[in-house]
Amino acid sequence: MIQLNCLKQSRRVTTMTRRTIVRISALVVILLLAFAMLRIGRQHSILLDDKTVTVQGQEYKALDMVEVKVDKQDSVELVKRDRDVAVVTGQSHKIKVTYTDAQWNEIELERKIKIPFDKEMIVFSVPAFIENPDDDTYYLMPFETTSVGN
Amino acid sequence: MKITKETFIKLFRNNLVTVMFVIICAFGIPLSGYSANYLIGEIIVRISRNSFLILSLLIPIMAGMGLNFGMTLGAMAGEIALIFVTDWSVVGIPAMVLACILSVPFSIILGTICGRILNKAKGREMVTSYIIGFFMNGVYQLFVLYAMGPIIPIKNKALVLPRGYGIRNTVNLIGIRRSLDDLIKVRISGVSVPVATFLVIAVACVFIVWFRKTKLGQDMRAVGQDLEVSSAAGIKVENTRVVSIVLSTVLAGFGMVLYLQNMGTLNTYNSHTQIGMFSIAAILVGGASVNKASIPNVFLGVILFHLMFIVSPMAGKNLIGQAQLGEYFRVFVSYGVITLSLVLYEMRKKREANDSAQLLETEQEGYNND
Repeated sequence: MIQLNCLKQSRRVTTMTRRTIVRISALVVILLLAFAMLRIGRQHSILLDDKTVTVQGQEYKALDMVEVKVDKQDSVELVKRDRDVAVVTGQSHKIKVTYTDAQWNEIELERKIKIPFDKEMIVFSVPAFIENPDDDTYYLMPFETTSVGN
Repeated sequence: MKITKETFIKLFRNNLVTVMFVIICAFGIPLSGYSANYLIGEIIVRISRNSFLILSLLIPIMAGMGLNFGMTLGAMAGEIALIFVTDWSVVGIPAMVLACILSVPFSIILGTICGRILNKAKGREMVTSYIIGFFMNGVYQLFVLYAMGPIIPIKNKALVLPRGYGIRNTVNLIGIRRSLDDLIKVRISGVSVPVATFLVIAVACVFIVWFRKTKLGQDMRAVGQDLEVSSAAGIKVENTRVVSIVLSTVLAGFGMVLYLQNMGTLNTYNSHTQIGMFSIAAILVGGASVNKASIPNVFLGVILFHLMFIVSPMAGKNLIGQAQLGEYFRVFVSYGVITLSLVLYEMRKKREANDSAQLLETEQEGYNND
């Protein structure tokens, strides 16, 4: 009788443990799914900037005309001191920049960029990208609004 | 099977609301002058928009808790989730999935509160859930109007009222607008069919059918039939009732996300208020009653009720030159349908009680004569 009770109790404990494990795993899966959705579905704005900039003490001159294409969106033509916006979803994107150099050669540069998750809006500096396409610290900058004080 | 006069009368009596709506629609459609294509298109939109919400009513009916006016709590949960998702700039299908996941904890909390209160008001569940809906609307407004901003950070300036806290009257859901509807879109003779939305609704239907066959589903049916017998059979009656309300609230939350992705705009303080009433009116029009409802009732109800919604303004305009008649007709009919169904239900209950009493009396007499 005592043995039977012990067996029943141990079975109950096993069922309880299994149920708890299933519940916790389900919760973890749902949380992971929510996090994945947040990352995949978050919208960012990339400000495509063709302006003269100074990055790490180095000045990069604006181009007279440049064509920028983000992912499969329509390409954007920028002239000197021009700025346009590309609204994208997710963090990883492909950017293709097409321009003509001093020798009239058409040059195409294509790189993958990763937008920081917490940045809703970032600046993509085309002149800095052309000079340092492999280092995104040069051409991806956080967008900061400057308020005019007294 | 031979249809006798009595069976016909019984069938007519049991489906009086549905028959009434078929007649209204039969008169309204030619008066409105709308083409068949337009009406079919509109009905498809309404089915995709409302069915999920109405499906959420089936589980409490199964558990004998009547028509869950407390489904507005789920709608509120869905709205809160959508506000967060919009603030975090999440768009498209991921936004919908995230909103559904986010709505679940809110729905569970609100549903549990509602279910526990309803357990204290057995036999008066419908009126109690109706009042809980009003009460929770106040709590929701307090939360959205005063907590969002100062306590819960809202970064998106477009969402916040000019005073710096509280959510604006209207939230633009452009990021998720028709994202599910347009995911798989098929055009059949000029009418566009949102296949993906219908698939989601089909999954909900399959879930309900499957759920009825589970142990919990069977328990709910038993509880719905007789509380005392179920309790004697070892079913945790109160717990089962709470679970049914929680499930209904969670489904209503999902339904609201689906509804609002179709609308594309969230009316922060009003979107949920009419949802319960219109959904309940629709399921009643479909032939459901306080204690019996099925999936076909949901779809028949959406079609008939919303057909009346679509044709009544134009029919009113063509009939007396004022579209406002139709607008008035909508609200009037919604309340009227609920009232009529409740009255008919009570009448049927009394009639059935009388019939069984008479039967018992006849049997008793026969027994005594023997």
